Amino acid sequence: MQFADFNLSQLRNFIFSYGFYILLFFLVVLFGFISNDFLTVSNWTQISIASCFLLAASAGLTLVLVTGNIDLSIGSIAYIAATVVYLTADYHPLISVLSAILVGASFGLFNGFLVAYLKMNSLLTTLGLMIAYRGLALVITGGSMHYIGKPLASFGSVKFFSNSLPLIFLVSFLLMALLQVILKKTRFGTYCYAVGNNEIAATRIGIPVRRVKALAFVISGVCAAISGLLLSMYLGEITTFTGRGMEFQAVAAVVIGGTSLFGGRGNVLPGTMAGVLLLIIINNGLGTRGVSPYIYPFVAGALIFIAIYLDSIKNRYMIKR
Amino acid sequence: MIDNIVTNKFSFAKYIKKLISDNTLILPISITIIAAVIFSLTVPNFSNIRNILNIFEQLGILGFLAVGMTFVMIAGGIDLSSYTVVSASAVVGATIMVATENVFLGCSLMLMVSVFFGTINGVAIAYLRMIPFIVTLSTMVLAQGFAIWFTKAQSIYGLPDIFIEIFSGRLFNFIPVPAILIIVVAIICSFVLSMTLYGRWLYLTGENEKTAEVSNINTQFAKFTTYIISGLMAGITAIVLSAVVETSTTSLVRDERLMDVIAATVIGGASLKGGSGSVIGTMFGLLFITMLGNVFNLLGVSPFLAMIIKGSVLVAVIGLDVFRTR
Amino acid sequence: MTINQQKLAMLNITKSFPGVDALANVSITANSGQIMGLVGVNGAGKSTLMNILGGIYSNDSGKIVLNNKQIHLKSPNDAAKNGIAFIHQDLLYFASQTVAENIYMTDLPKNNYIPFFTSKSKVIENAKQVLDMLGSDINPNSLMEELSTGEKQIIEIARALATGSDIVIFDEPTSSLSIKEKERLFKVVRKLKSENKIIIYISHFLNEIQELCDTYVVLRNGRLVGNGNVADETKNNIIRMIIGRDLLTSKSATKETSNETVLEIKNLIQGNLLQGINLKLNKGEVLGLWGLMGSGRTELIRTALGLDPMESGEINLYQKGDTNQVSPKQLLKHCGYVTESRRIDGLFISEPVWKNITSGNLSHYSKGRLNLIDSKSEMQSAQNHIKNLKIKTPSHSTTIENLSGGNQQKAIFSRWLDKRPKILILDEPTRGVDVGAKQEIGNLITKLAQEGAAILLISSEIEEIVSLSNRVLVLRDGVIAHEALEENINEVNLMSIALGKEQ
Repeated sequence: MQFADFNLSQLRNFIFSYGFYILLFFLVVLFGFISNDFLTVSNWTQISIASCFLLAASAGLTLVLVTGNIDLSIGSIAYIAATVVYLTADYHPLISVLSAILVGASFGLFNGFLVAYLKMNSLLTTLGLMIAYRGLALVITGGSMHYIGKPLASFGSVKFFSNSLPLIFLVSFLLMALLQVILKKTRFGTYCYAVGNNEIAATRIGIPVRRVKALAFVISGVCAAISGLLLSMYLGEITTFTGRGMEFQAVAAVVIGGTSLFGGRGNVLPGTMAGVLLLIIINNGLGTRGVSPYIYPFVAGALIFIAIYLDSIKNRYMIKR
Repeated sequence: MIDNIVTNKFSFAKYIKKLISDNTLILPISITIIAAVIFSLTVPNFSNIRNILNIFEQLGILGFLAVGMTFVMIAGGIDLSSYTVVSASAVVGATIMVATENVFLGCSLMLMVSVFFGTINGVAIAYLRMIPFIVTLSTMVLAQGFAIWFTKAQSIYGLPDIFIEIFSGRLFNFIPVPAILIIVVAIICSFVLSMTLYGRWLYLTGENEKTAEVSNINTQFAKFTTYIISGLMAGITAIVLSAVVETSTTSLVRDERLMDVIAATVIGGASLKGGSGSVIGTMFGLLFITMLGNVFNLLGVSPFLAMIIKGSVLVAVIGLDVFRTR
Repeated sequence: MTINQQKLAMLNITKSFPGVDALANVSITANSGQIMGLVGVNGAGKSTLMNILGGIYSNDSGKIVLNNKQIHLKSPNDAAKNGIAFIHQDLLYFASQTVAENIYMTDLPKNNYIPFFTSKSKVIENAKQVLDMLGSDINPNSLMEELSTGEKQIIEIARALATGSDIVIFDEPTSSLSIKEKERLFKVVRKLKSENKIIIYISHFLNEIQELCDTYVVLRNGRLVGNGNVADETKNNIIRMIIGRDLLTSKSATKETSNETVLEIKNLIQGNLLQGINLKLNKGEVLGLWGLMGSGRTELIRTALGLDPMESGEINLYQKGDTNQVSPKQLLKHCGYVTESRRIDGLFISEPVWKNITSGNLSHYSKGRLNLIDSKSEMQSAQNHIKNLKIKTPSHSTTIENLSGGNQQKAIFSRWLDKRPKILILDEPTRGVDVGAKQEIGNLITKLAQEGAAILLISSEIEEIVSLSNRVLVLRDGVIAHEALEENINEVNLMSIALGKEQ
């Protein structure tokens, strides 16, 4: 009798909404099973450290994606922010933090201006800016490694609860929480969804669409900057590899976590966080098993492919209704 | 048989006539000429024969990718993956070539791998109707990851001498082979695009896919083939580039080159919306960008500063495209 | 308990678009607590008039007076500020967000305790209030995408109420609604009336106008030809006003048509719209396909030609005595198809005229194994067509964007004529075309039929159908409800049939 109620479309909805978390759960169980080191506290401390930089950057990226755009310059903005941290190494650590954030916001604002006001295509524009920003940072750092201020660096290794919960992870988690709150509880967040859902309707009813899109980029810039800040704090130094390739990982994580590339859908917690965790856990899990590290980018690429395929099916399915 | 030759000769004349009357070529050709004049007057060693041949050899390396991108953009898509597919194909082919000393086999494998990636793109975009930007973004990551995995991040040395001589040598000790190859390929592709039915299909599909469908054009097939061609071009690049640098590595083509290729096609008249663009225009656009990079080199401009300028040029070019299509 | 009495007057409104006079000196007045029905055929000017009221177009002359004060509506925002809400046929909504958010999107209630925060509970509460006022039981927490079209419409109405609109315009609101949803809509509209709103209701369906509206206004050819109280007028009189008392259109259709069937469609089913279409198209005839907007005529064509997937159905082509069942994509090869909206899928807007003309027949111009295109003969063909159809263009290489609508349409016709197809399918062939070109295209259609083409003509302009068709099929409720032959083809008849009352 109960089976009669259970129809195909309900199953489909269920898979779309929860399938991913089930996958994540099984993966954790699987790795825990096949490797002794996986479910240890120290391993999870490792995981939390490895993921916090991506978590911070992906949080902001989620917002941009919800409005229907994309930001590929976040890795380079992270590097620039890290560079600013290095430049302010002689000052109070708070100055470093604030300047990094300010710089991130400024670059984000520039991005937002080009995309929202000059109506340039966000993908290609931020792709080009990714190169330009990185070049700028490289000019400043001269392409070499630099140390950041000791006080700040020491914060990078602070861990709570007897060496298990890193401060930097806490910071990124709080940032994610903040962004989730912005998305779901503020008027701005509601506008973001609206713009991503139906930009024409949003314009028609009087939502300041351009402002919303630009602000999303500013926030993305700030998050990217915080990511760079955390990375430099953890490593104690900045190198030419800072933030490299982070944008693509972030896009993968955000899409896998359920945010649609078409805009209007998605969330930071638990979605994007789960996406980041999936990628990091796979990398980590394969590592504890001693699998060749070169499999990982491959797996990540395949995962994002599947994720966007599912996303496009979901989108077509929604349109048909 | 004689008919064929006569028709072909006649068509060639028509082709030249068509090129001359194409006014989207005005921009790329003029800025290239102006830049060339300025540079030769102000930058020491620029108009040196050796430097010019150098420039043309560079053209011969990126040129194939640019040609492939032109096809894809005309039909309304984009291919962000071609530059990493170069590495993926190169490492596979090179490994086999070193192991078996069989140049033909190695080159064929390079082409096969690149066409394989092209097929993934083509099927996903043309038949599964996924978004080109993102599909090729993930193929890009996949190809890169594949290259790293395949080689365990090691570069491949010891490519057969014949291979290196054929593809990176100089004809008559003078003209670099890559330059000759790209010119030949460019002319053939330009001819196909402007004079054949297939070329017309691509332009119309890119201009308005729905109208093209109503006009009974197989738009899915048209789009699919452009990704195959782009893949093929990546394979050719793999061959030429491996020979020139005498090694196959996991990042044969650096990220910034993707910007160069896209900028070249847009300067050459292509639009992100599709329906316009030309191989000749792209080649001039690429020439301009290559000269720019060359001048940076000659002037000792920091590579980092060059990155800033190049990135900004791309952004400016996209802004130009938006302005143009308003 | 003050009763808010408002009065809206649109006075001497004139508006023209390039080549077309859309509105000439139209004046209407509407009062609170009244539902005004706005009727007229397609192109009569109803949408234009309302688009002016909605701030989407601006009138060339005339003024709009609200409560004795003149108002200027330069944008949809201005209209909203003046309390005007326009419920379009294409609903504006945000799919992945909740009903409550959609209703209050422009006026999200603030959280009293935390700055920048919206109060979710308040939104839901307010939304419930508005929905109750409309007598609707839709759950404010549901996501918009879960709602049916009818329910989405109610939410848009709720938004109008929530933002304090006093004037609500409905544009063909019932074309995609089920009977039950229609009843629900009427209940809501009556509720709005009891809240003293000014309601303007555009519809083709005269029985709805009779059932729902208090007053009516009839527009024809951009002019006001009748208005008054619904109760004082018979439906037939209103029909005559819509169509024009000055007699029925003279027919230019040929008298002789053969009975040789060229195309047969059997039992075509697609989605909810097409429930089993059967039709036959004969050589040398113009077969008119008539029905109200939303009845599925364009969908029928697109499905039959393979541009949209077909669920089931059979297509038979008769050629030289042979009957072959073909797939929709194959049918497309044998047909010329002038689409409904040329801007969307009829033109290659940035290409020259000649490329547009030859695009349907490219294989004809390509020779040799390399399939080289002979552009010279393409251009020559184009020049011939330009001459024959008197297409007004500076040259064959002018970008087609620069041509007027009528000439663009003629160029599209040439595209199919170039192919010399046996079957020609025309969907709104004279839409957005000036009077002169309309006439020319009409004559062209008749001539083509005389020369033996089998023509399927879809048009929302009843005069066009009447004038040009030898036979007319009426599409209603997803099937061919009626076939009208020669003598029975006239406006009054067709209107009634489409509305559901055979005579």
